[in-house]
Amino acid sequence: MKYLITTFAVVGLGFLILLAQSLANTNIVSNDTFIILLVISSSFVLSLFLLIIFQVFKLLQSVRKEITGSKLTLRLVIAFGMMVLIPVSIVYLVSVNFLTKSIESWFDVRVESALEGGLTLGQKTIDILIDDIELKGKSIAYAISNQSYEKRENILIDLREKFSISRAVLYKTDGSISALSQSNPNINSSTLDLEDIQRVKSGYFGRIEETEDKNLILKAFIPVFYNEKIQKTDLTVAEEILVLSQPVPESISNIAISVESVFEEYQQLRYSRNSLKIIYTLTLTIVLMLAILTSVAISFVISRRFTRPLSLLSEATNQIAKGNYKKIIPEIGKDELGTLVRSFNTMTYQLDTATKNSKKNRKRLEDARAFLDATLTNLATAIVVIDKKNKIKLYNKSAANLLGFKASNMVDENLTDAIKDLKKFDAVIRFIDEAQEKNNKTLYSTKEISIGLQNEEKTLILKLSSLLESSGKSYILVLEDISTIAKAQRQIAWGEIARRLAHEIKNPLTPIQLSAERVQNRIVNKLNKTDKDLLNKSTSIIIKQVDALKLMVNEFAEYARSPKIVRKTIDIIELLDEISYLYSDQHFEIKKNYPKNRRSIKIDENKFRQVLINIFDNSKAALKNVKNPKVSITLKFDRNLIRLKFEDNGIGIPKEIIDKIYEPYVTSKKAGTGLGLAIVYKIIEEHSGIIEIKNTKPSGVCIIITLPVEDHKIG
Amino acid sequence: MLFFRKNNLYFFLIFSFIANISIAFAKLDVSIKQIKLEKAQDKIVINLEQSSVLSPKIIELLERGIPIAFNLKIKLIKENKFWFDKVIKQDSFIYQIKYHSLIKIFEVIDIHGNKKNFEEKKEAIKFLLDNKEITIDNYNILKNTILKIWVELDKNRLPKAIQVDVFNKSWDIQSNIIFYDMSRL
Repeated sequence: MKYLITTFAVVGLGFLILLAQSLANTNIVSNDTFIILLVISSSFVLSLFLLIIFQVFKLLQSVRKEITGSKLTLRLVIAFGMMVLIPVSIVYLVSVNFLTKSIESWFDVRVESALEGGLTLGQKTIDILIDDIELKGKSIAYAISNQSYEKRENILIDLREKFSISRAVLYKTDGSISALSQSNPNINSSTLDLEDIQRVKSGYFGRIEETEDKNLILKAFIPVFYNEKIQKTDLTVAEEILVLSQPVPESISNIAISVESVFEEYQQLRYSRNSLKIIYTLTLTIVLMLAILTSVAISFVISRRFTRPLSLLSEATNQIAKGNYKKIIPEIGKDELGTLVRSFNTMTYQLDTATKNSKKNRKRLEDARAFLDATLTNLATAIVVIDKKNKIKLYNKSAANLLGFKASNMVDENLTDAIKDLKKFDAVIRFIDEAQEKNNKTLYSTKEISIGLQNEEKTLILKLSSLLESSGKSYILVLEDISTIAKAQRQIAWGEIARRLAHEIKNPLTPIQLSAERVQNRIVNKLNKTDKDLLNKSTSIIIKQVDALKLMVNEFAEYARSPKIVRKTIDIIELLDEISYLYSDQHFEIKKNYPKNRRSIKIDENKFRQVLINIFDNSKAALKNVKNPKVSITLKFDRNLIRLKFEDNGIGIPKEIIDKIYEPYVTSKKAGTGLGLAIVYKIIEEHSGIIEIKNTKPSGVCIIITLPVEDHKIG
Repeated sequence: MLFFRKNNLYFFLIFSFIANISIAFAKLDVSIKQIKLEKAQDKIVINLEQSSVLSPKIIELLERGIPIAFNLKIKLIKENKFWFDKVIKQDSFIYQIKYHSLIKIFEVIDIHGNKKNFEEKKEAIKFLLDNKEITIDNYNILKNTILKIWVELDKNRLPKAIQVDVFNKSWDIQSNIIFYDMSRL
């Protein structure tokens, strides 16, 4: 904008100078050029005017939109504009008035009269000089005409010198020179014009001529009529023409020419008076417009320059209020405004640094909190933080699952209100109450309890520790589910029992069986029939019972045997088909549901065969006297897991033993040892798998085995 | 440009052309009274005569010592029906009159630059507006053109202020414009 205005002003000024030059009486600017200049200058003024209108429009728009600094800019523009407009307008009016009056004053009547008087004086002087030279001419002509023709030249010379005439020439009537006398011999003589010859015939005359070098020369033309009586010889010509030439004295000539020149100029000016007024007024108006418009345009630039730092400061303040501390204002100058801008930038930088640090700290805290939340959420141990009134302050997912909270968010709820089945967790509530009653400053209580949950008995370790906070005392309740550990401990204990039983019982069984057989062999032939039958029956019972004991001991031995699995790659579907084939002629139907793609897996084939036989045996037993007995086998491959589901519609497992079904010697069968599922559980555990056994509705059992396998596709 | 030309006056003569138009343009400050065209071998001689009087406004200007110059302009135009006419040749001739108030002499300079003094105003004006003979060469290449001839007051020799006074049109003095079809000569 400022460059545009400067360009406008400079170019406009240039055109104005040319315009002013064109008014001078020079040939620098012609008539046509003046019009072009006038049009260009007017166009410049118009362009500048439009530019200012555009700027004013923009400024008013900014004011309407309440853009920062626009109102101050408007006030400054108005102030600057008025500062220029008033004095320049006064100067303009005075100038126009002065100009008009000055031009009018040139044409004073007295001046005109004086000039006319001067000119008339000059004319009269010249007339007198012409009269004088005519008189002299007449005298010379008279003298010549009254003397003999031969003497005319001498008389001409004498009288020319006597009358101080510059040049005297006697011409014949054909225009040729008859006699000549001149003070300057270098002047070339010429013939007389025919017009002058004709004119002089009607009488003498005098006139003034202007030479090429602007000198005035007086001339007198007098006819000379020779007196024939005086002539000694016959004249061929009776008449000649005397021409006298005399330059006007330089002092008079200069003044007269000067007066004439001034008079002409005056007349020219008189005719130009109105045009001059119009042109000067027009030029002054253009100058005025250019001055005012340039000033207003410059006032825009100056105002913007003043208000820019303030606008920037204001805008930056708004940005800071909105939380943007990165707004840096470009430094402007070294004055007070510059210092203010620098101080503001420093303050903004400090605010930005402080905010960044605060954000960092907040982020760190949030991260730590998120980490704690994630840890708590994913922790298998249930944790609940309560206040002294048992109001929940914090809890994790495991706690919500274990305690069975009523809703997803139970914060600020009382613990007793939050638990869905409070009866089951009565022991927990009692533990908390008892612990709180102790009212120790650094409370720490622990207790192991067993509660029945979802057809399963759980063993929990409860820990309650107090926590002193600014808001008061809080308690951290930790509920640790140790059911799995307890089960494992029982498994180990049962293994030890089985191993000892096998060792202690198996050893005497063979001697007992051998002794019974020896007694039967040795004594049976010595006894009568009655005793013989009794002995045979008794020894047979002993042998059968020893066999039964041996079988039981072997199973215990098998259970107690330390885990050693030998994996090899097999096709699980082939194995399932092989085992199910063994039971295909039984009283129940076998339904198979295998995936389309076969996979081989790496397991201990023999032990897994034992698992399958145990499961089929149990189903076979459970499906006796059941209507439409059936076993369904479902196999699913799921990434690195296989899921094998056996479902039957048998009598199911009694509720009392389902929690302990994996423990040895737990069975619902009259003839069972209770080691079948214990061994299955152990084998699956040895394969790092999971087995889940549950009753189904309306009746039946569902066994789900999940095994991690390294497998590959078959075929 | 036929349209514009039709709005002006035409004078056609086969060999010699004389017209008296002084009555039609009597009200003009300067007017062309008559022109005469003569063909001599490959040259055209134009003889132009202006009205023998000048308007009082010009006479007043003259008597105040302001030189009055006239510009006699001729243009030979090749006519185009659908485009601007092409100017084949153009020329201008200046002649002027000036009154020397000190010596009371009217100085006349004719179109050929010859200077002549007159004591009588009437004689001076008569000489100024008397027949002017202009010769145009190369008739053969110009014979299918339109001759345009007119006289105008030469504003460039007036006082500067009058020259630049764009709002004053009273000094834009121009005579009637004469058109002549050269092919008819």
